[in-house]
Amino acid sequence: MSSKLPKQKYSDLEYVSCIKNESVQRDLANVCFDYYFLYYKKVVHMDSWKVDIFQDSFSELWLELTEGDIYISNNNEICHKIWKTGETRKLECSLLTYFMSIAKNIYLAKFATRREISMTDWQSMRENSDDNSNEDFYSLKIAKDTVPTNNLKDEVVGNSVDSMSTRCRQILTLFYWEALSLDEILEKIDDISTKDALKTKKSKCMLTLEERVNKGLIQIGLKPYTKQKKNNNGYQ
Amino acid sequence: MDTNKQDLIDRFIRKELSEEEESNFKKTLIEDQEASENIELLEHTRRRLGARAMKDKLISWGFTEEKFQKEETTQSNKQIKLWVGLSAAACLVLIFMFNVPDNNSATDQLDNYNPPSFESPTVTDSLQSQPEITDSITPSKNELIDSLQSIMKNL
Repeated sequence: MSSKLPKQKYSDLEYVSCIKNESVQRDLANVCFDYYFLYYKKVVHMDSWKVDIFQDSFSELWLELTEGDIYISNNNEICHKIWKTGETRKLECSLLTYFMSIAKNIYLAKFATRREISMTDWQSMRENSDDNSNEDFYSLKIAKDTVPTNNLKDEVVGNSVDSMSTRCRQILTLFYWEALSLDEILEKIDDISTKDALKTKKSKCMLTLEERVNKGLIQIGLKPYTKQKKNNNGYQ
Repeated sequence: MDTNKQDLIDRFIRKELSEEEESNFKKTLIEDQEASENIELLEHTRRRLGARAMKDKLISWGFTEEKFQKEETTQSNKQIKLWVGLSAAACLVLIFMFNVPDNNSATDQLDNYNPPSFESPTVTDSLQSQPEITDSITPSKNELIDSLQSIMKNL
């Protein structure tokens, strides 16, 4: 898979250290796209998912870089921290190869969380599978048992986030991802005027999200999160 | 879950707690399954919201279905050009292989061809070789008289 690499403007070390710079992000996205375009058929067997898988995989790589899961050690080596276990390892492959492994995991998780696959998709998978990879193709049927639970939970939460209203997603993104204060969020949202109204809206959005996540987890046979209870005033 | 605990969880997720507050909070989580699960869900949610924000950015940068289609068209055109080039090269090789040379071949004829020497006469030469016009078309007076006399005799 590493026989043909797209030309990189920056080294892997530079990508890791300067990922907050938007032009570096964009360049990395271009390089990842070129690499993905060359090899995606070996990883993603459903053509209709190729764009989604690319976008999700790059977002995940970017997330790991910005969150410090991938970082530069004192020895000037790129290291990788495994989310949840906290274990740290030296990254033995290039960022592009790592990116493709993310794409493969996301594809398997996406596959495992979709219960119904259309005949067209099956046909497409068969046609795109290499002759010598039939074993991999059939093993996708039991992907749910082999994909790590955290990947599956991420996929379910990701789907639930995508299915939310734009307003809810905006409020939750500003609050949890950008970590803005309620006053700062109020300045960005026109139709909510008070802090209490914003707090209530945020709680309602979280409750809706939790319901959808739990439904998704039950569908694929995973344990749902403890359901939040409504208090006397409505939502928490 | 009471409002204070929810606020504390939110501050934990937003990384607003001091080291001491965080340490104390983590100790309480060991026995509080509901809070632990809520934190796990919020952490997943926070990361997915971040990923979604990047996905929106990618879409705004044009990493969409259209880019894939454009790239596929470019690759397809490159392949077509490559095939045309290869086919042309193959045709030339075939022509070269099956074109057995003989004495009458065009190349031989060209090699043996000796163009005739061609020397254009100089202008002065050609002019000198011409007879003088005055001599031929203006006979002398005596010649005319003699001719007339002979014609009269014959009559």
